[in-house]
Amino acid sequence: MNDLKYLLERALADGHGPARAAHADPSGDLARGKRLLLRRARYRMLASSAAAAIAAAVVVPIALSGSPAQAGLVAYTGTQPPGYVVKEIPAGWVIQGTNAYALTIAPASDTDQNPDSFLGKLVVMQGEFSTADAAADGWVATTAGGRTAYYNHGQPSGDGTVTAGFVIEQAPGRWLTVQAPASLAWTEAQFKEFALGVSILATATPGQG
Amino acid sequence: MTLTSRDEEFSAFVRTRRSELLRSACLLTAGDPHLAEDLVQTALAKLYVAWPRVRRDGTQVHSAWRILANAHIDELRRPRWARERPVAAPPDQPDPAGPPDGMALDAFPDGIDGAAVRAALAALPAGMRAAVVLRHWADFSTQETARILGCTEGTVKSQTAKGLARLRGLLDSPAETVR
Repeated sequence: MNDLKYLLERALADGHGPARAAHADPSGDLARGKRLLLRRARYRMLASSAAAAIAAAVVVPIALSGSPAQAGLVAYTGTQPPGYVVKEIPAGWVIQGTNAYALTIAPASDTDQNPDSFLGKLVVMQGEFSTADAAADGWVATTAGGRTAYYNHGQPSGDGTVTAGFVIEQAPGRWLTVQAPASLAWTEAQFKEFALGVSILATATPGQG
Repeated sequence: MTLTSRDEEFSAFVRTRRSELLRSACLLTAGDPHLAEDLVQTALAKLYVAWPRVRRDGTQVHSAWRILANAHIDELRRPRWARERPVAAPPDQPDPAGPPDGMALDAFPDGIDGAAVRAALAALPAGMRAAVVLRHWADFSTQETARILGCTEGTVKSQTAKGLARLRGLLDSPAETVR
């Protein structure tokens, strides 16, 4: 006579289940978890921007050029974050945190001190970018420092999204992505200036999943 | 790579719990190790996202199981998958005779091989299979199983009783009922 547990153990035999292991390597699950966290943070940021735009019933497009920014760039003089080299940051903002996937910069007065939360913050990451889909997604081709780049000024779409973005090719197929909240009101030139001042070291990991 | 305390705690959890989750997922999928791996990867990624909350609540283990069970049920609901296996006769009704005298509810005859068990598991509805695996493989209590599956304890008792009866009906004569 067999109890059910014994039979279930038998069901895992013959390659239909792994052997019992004392320890598993967590690196893959950790990387997948971080990618999912980033995707959700992006979604929340976009959704929040849309909600704010609808609530105010006013849409504020970010100027493509010319107008002064609410927070201009100043030289960054603090300790460089692990995995990155940053030359400039917005005035009054601080590097809030970094991990292998993203660098988070936020207003010094921001009450949200979680570097994994990107709402209303400036976020830098590296990853893939589909140039084939760029135009359809509102990205405009440009160049920065002689490198291919794309700028998305966040012109409100049907859902009211006003989050702005900038990507610049670091190496074939590898892109540095900068996301900025509408409140920063950056011009394309400021995106370029900031992006060209950021270097991602080899220790950072692609953050787009 | 810079590890935060969240990363370190999550990694420690994965090191000690992943094998157990994957083996259980293999049972939830009735012996499909590839789908089981997908489910565990999905569940652990979602667990990482929810880690601050589940850690604060002390529900890491239950949450991992809940996400895994829900991912399994969601997977079966996908229309592109046809996971039902044809059987000669619908095994919906519990064996009216029940186990032979003196045999425990979860006791089964000798000579049953793994393939028959997997086929019998596959014949159970997803929720019933999850209840059986949680109660009789992972050794969760009725209360814990109800919490993980988001149902009442009465439902867990009902589902596990029906599940055991259906397994018994299938495994007592696997050649006739499971193909």
